[in-house]
Amino acid sequence: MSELRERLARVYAELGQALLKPPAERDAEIEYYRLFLNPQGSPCPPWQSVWEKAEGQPPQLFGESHHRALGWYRRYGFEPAAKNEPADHLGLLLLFYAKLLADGEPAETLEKFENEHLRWAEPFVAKLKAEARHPYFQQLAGRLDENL
Amino acid sequence: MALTRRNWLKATGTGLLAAPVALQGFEDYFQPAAGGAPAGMTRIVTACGICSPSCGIQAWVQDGRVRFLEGLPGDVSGDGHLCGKGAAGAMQLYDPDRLKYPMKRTNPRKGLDEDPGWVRISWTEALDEIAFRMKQTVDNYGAEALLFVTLPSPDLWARFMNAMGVVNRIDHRDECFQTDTVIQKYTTGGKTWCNDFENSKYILLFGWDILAKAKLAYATGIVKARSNGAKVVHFSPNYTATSRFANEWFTIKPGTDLAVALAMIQVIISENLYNKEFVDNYTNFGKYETEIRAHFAQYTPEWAEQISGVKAADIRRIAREFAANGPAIAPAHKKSLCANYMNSSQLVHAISILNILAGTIDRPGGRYFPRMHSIPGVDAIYPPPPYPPKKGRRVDGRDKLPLVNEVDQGIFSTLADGMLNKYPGMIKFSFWNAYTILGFPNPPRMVEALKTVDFTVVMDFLPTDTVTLADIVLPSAMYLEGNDAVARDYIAKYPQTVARKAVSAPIFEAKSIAYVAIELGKRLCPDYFKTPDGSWINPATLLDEKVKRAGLGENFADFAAKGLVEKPQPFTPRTTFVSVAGADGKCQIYVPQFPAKGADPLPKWIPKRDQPNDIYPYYYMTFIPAIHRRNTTENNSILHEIMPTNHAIINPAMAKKHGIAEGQKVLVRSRAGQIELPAHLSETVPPDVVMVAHGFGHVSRAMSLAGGAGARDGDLIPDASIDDFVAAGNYAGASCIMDAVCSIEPL
Repeated sequence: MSELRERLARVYAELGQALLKPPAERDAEIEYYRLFLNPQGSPCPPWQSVWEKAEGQPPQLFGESHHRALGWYRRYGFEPAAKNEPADHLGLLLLFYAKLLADGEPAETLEKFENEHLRWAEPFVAKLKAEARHPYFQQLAGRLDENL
Repeated sequence: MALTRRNWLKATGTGLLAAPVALQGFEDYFQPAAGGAPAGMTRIVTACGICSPSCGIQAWVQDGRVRFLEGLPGDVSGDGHLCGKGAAGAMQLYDPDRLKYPMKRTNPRKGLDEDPGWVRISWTEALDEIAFRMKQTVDNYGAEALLFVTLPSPDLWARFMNAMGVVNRIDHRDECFQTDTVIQKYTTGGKTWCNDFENSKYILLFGWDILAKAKLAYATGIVKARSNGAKVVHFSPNYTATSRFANEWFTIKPGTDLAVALAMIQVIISENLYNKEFVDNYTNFGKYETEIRAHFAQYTPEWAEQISGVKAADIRRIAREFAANGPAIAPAHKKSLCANYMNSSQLVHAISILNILAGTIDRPGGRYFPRMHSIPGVDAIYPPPPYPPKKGRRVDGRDKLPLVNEVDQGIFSTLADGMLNKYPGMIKFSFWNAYTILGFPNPPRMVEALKTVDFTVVMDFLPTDTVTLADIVLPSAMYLEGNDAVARDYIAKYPQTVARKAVSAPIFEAKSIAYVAIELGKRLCPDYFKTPDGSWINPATLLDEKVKRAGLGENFADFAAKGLVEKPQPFTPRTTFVSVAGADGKCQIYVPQFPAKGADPLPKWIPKRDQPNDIYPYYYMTFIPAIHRRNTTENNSILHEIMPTNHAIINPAMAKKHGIAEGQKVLVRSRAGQIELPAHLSETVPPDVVMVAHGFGHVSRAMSLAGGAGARDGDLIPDASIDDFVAAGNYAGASCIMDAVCSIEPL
């Protein structure tokens, strides 16, 4: 069982990092910026509070889910290294989820985190599937879809 | 959630704890928490930056993030309140569409349909590239080939442009208060924002729809004036929130306020109703009495009635009331109907004369000059080496308007013509700071002009339409992310200054334009960015020094701890006014310096530029709604929810004539272009006017909320050539954004 847990942790960590770091190949790199950080408006903003209209809040950066995610990280003794960026980036959330898995946290904890921070991934991934033009991101969307 | 994992979680059960395994990459993105309990809610005093009165704010901040903004008690600008825009400011701070990192295009082909292929670059790489391009441009083509579309602020940014000998710095003030700046310099002694409504007994508004614009410093003053028993009179083609609040509202043909103002001057002078004490002692009326009386005699109320549609008897009565029931005031301001026709230079001169005749310049109840803390600029603190002379041609042709050149403002409306027709290919490099093509008359022409530029940098906090044509995009910090000392200059009977303290560190890699100034300065003109001890200028040290010299505190931290510093003192009215040579310190009704600078010494009647005709039978008017600020807030999620789009607002009579139903899509055309948008029927608009709110029609992909919403009002507004302005006598360079005429048809 712990082997499976370890394997899953690796998958989520890998998916998280794929969302946090642009690929090296030039066309895929351009596609990464077009999808997530486009200065002309991103089709797939990767932050939870942009997707969740939690507690009547309009889409925004650093919304409620940012504060909640920070709370999770801190309870386990961590903080995101990038201080002025939202803590609810899907990449960070997946990486942290992987950490919970790797650390052998109980299923209740994992489920609580999923409920609070991974449910929005469904519409995000659907949008990513629809928007991705480069095979790298089409594959990434597929893998996210399979694993979320 | 995927079945595989769910099943696995069930199978593993809750009690099973595996040994922790190492996780590759985790440390790249997470680090040990700093420790200590996260801070609770703290209060930070700061200042709004959405519009210029910069109302005081108390921000409630948790964990470095703004949770709530409200007005600052004791602040004179907002009187302890914020308007809707100010209160929603955090939505701008945390707008998901904000520019986040410096980016550069990888696709050399430019066009609205080209994908620029953005990639992230470091600030160093961006600044190196910009500096290289600037140097290359100056070396090959001279400083005239640089275009900076930006205000000359903050002072460090102005210093950079001065040090580089930038000739072509262009700003929007021709669409705003530029006419007032030019006129007040010569008639009363300088542009002021201060209107003492509170103590006024008669408030005369030409257009000036300030209640509907929700500029609190003014709106609150007018509300207080009404409570104090003042009379408010509003001339405006359409019925607005200000009209409703006024004691009397007169509908007036667009662009004819000048006729009414001239006739009021005629009444006041011919009946000798002016404030004799003020006029005799502090104006040049006596010296030019013959010329003045002779000039205005022609402008009778009967003449004005023919032009404006306002009854002669009403004009005469209002003129007499204005003169008799003072203190009286007639404000002149900006894009709120009054200052944007071809005849606005003359209108603003006429309004200034009315204020002078009322004798309320720098008197209680009138337009007065601000009493402010004197906050020194960078050039006073670190005197620069002499700036190089500005050599080269003004691409907007402004040198043909000497009065505008002197005040160094404008000119948006002639920029495209200069770039495309007058000096094609002259501009090789452009830097856009916090401006978008949406702010120009005829934006498609500006896009064409921008396509002719080799290299373009856009610095902004939101993705404006201009980004599409940029080579490098720089993310700008916004007002809640920086420190400053903001002196009150809208309500300033005595000095009051608010500390604008950053409530949040700049998000992602946003930086201030002052940072860009210093960094480009280091690369291109280092001598201008050193302190006397040879170190680089540091913005924080500079601000500390400003605060100290202005007497606001020991340093910025000390000032910020106080939040607000004021120095109550009695109001002592001025006795000297205009400082230009030949004015003898008096207010000038007749401006003897004008003829040498291409202007008439007294305002004369000229009609607005475009008149309704067979093809375009209607007046086209634009306005700024209360809930948005220019073209900068449409993507604010709260404000977007309140007002998501714009309409063609027309009278039901016009709708009936053309068979247009409420909400039906219409095509509005002018000689400049055409737009499609839904109609809204309202009795508040005269039957011969089509009204459209400004600020909408951002190009689709750029902003997730505002993108594609509504129509771009400017597409119907013709841009201009400088020769048009000179020929028409538009000597103060008003942009004529109210001057279009249009047709309408249902779709």
